[in-house]
Amino acid sequence: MCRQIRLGLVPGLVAATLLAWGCDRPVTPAGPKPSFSDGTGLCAGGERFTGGGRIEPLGGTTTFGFNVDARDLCSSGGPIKGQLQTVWHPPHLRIQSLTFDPSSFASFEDLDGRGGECAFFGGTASVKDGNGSWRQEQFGAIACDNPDRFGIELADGNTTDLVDLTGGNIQAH
Amino acid sequence: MQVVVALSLLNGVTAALAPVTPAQSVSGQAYGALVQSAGGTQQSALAVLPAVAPTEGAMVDGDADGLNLPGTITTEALTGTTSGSIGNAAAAQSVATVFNVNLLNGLITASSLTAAVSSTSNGAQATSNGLGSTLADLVVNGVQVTTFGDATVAPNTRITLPGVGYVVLNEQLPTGGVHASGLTVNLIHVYRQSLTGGGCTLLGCLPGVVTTTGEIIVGSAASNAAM
Repeated sequence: MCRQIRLGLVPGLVAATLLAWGCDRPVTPAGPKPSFSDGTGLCAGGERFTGGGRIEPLGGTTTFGFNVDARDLCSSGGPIKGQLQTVWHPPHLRIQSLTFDPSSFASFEDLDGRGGECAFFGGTASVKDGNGSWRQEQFGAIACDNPDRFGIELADGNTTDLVDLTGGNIQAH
Repeated sequence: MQVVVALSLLNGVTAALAPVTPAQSVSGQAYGALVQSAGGTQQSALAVLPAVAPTEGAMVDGDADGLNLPGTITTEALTGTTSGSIGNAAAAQSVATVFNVNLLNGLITASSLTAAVSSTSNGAQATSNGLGSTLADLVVNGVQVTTFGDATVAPNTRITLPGVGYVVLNEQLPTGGVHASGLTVNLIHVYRQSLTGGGCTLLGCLPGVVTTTGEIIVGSAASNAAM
């Protein structure tokens, strides 16, 4: 059992995710190749996720909002549509998504033995510390519905880990 | 024939009495601060959720480095985020954050605040809540309201501000019913008031009228969901 998921999302988002997922499920290397549309592959946990709220990771409150739509990806390997904003306070770190990387998306049911549906997604974001200048960084995020959890990590190593919401909501469709 | 007519009438009555199910919809809004006075309105870090079609979703955010209206409000970074989607349920959620708030030359201060609301409806039940709405190191008229950092204030806490009016902390304004639910949370809502009219003559005294002349809202989040 590996209930605590360290993100380790950027780069190699999905690989890290599958490693954590595998703690609860035996790996079957000879199994069928994941497909996008049969409900058992990379979109098994849902194709659309929306949410917003707050979490209390070690080191401070983090608030967020996002909408991710992977229907085109799940049906035909197309792009992901979405937006994300996260504020980590302190240190007043603001993260605003610019692009989403289709290769970073995966969704699962019962990722860590707690039930529900989880999605992993990532891409490039504008990041700003306090009143500093905006810079671009890669980000990776996990969002789970029921129980609702959220986590985000930047390429520079800043991470919240995956923690339960203390306010707000995450909805998988 | 009479039976057919009667049945037709009955059907009409039944249809008229059937509960009206609201259309699937979500809405949301969040902003860092709003100042309203006779001179106009200024709003910072506003995010308003656009119309969301069934089987769709959306997210909008607003962002500002700070707000400075001398004598009224100074803050550091402000953000507003609102998102919503419709599918197997309708859900909307909004969050506003503001850092280092100073209102009315130090009459109200807070190191940070977070307003968070969410609304969901699954067609059978609709609910909203303001869980996660907190103010850190809040001081009102010299009195420490939240201690030990970030904390919740009881909903709709009203405190008189001598010479100014009053403030409502964690103001919560619910709406909705069985199939639809909404909630607005204004973490700091200052009502600026003044006494107009009134006075005494040989015939007696007339009371003045207290009127609201302006408002300051810091940290506002609203969400609505119907299905």
